[in-house]
Amino acid sequence: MRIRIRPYADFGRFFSAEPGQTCVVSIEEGATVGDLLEAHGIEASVRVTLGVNNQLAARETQLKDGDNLEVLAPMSGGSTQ
Amino acid sequence: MPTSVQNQILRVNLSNGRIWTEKPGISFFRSHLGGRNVIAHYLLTEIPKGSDALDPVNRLVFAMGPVTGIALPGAGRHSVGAKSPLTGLFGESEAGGYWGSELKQAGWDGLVIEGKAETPVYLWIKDQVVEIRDARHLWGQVTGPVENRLREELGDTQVRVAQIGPAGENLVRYACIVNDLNEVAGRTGLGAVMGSKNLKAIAVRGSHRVEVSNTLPIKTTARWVSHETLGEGGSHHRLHTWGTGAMVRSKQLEGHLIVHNFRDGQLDHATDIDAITMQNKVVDHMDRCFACSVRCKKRVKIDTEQVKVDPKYGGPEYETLAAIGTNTGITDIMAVCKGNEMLNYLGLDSISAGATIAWAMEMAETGRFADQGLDKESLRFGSTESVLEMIEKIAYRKGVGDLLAEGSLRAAQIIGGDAEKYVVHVKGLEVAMHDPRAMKDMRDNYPITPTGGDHTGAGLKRTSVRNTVGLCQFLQYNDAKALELLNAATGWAMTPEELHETFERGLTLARLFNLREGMTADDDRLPDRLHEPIRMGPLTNHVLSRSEIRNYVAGYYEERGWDKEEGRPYTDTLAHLNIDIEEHDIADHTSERPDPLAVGTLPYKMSHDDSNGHAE
Repeated sequence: MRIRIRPYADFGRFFSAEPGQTCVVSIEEGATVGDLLEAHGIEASVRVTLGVNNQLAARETQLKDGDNLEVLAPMSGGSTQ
Repeated sequence: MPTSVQNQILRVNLSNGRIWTEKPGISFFRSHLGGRNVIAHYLLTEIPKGSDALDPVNRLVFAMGPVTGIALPGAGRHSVGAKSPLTGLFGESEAGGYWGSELKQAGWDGLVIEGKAETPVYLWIKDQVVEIRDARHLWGQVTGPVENRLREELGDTQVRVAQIGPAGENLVRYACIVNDLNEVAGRTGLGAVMGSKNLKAIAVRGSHRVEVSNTLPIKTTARWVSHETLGEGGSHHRLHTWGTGAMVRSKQLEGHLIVHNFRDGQLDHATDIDAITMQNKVVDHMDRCFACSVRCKKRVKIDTEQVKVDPKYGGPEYETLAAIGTNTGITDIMAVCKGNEMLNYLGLDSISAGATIAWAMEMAETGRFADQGLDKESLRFGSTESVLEMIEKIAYRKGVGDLLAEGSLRAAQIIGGDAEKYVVHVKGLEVAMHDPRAMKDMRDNYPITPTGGDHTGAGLKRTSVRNTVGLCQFLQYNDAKALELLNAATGWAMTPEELHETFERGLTLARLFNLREGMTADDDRLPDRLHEPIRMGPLTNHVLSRSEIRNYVAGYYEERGWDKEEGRPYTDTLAHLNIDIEEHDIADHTSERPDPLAVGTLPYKMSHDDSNGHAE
């Protein structure tokens, strides 16, 4: 299935995309957000905020063909910038 | 031995025109460093208890840090303080840019202004030559033309100017002090204190390089920042590329974006005003503060038929994007940039201005502003016209702007009823644009910060150390690095324990000032709104309990060596910190420890938190 990704902050480098711009990646059916992130080098230990189709998501969220995934640095509990 | 501390405080009395140099001694600087610790010392020592903040007796203190003005990224910081006309308590705010470094290069570690001039004046500081000059021709003007005029008048395009706009002249209780046209000491109404003294501007030119004891660690660190941290994956890459405000989308998804007077956590089209959109649409270039390679300052240029924004006034930081943007329901980037320009040329704190307007919008929406002739159509969430018009009205105290110029808490108390319940403030200072219901940093910060609802961590160690040393909060220096830089600049061999003690000393001085001015432990709390659930988004079922905050505050008092009930410093804490009870007339605000400490035990808790940021 094909997933459109919009990486923010420094996450663009994991997808060869400009931050804030989108790119499309392929991943096998049944994959979760976590599977996709790990396939692109974003390990489970990295704190991220995730959005799927404009809703807050988690690494466990199941993806489906055509989903829009956003990958961002988290703000809750985080820094003051 | 060369050292960055020059042992010189410039003193000016505007009532009698006296100008003199105070030399407090190197031991004073070593025990206080700079920034808010020095400010706390002068406020507690020199302002009579209960004085009105707009009385000539108030002191306006500009305090550099020991590293301010050295050739190091992040060393362009200074603090300004006074008794706050907004809160009636400890007032302080920090700014970047070039002005503070220029003052240091003129040979001054600080500047303390007292009294009131009969007619408007400005100060001209050229190295060690200081003059009080007529400013009647500048009074009433906005900041841009004043800077131009002063540079022309003084025959030097490199003169750095800190000044007030019309808001400060009109004693708006959250007027700010603007330096370099786009940097501000924004919080707690220091511009009104400057205005109350009839002081329009402080023009500075320094011709001396600030000396340091050991150049190697400073050069090495500067090289590390510029060569290893700015590229992709580097620790300053995000700030270097977008500046602040890149995280609007994270807050939106997580449901704690500041929207509609902290009522809602999400807003449609919020990313239309984040830093990434700004880069694509309105940012002309990124600019920097003194000696800083991070260059996180956005310069916005708009030149359309409808909107013109001059890049000399900078561009909105995150706080402004949220305060006059999402918090008032606005997602029009052109309007927010215009509002930012107005705030900087009129001299208003963007956080308090935006928060006060958002509160007024909620009052109008719910019919509580009927007596003021405002309803939900005339002052409406999402109306760019309402926000821009209200900024101008507040600065000139026109119409309802006169009421809002008092700040949201005073305004609510004036209109009465239950209006105060909707004011989002701590100690009378409008809360900054980070929601403690979602951010632990802010839960730990807002209730106990001596200035009130400020997000920059005045009550916490890491941020306080940076403020007093004179380092920018954004630079990823850990505590060990900050100490190394401090020692390299000053030639002191300060230990982590001694540095910790300066933090405790400044905080306890500020606490004593606040207690003396009538603050109680009941003021160390969050407002009602922040104990309500957020109305939209994933956090709608989350409630921040009052007991969680109360328990945190009690623990915080205990860590400081203050009593758990009222937060009054124990006498053994004061003795350990060399704070003289008699000299400061604070006996009524101290407490005796019920369970004396064992010999050798510190009266406060030491912490060596190196978890934030990293060094090379």
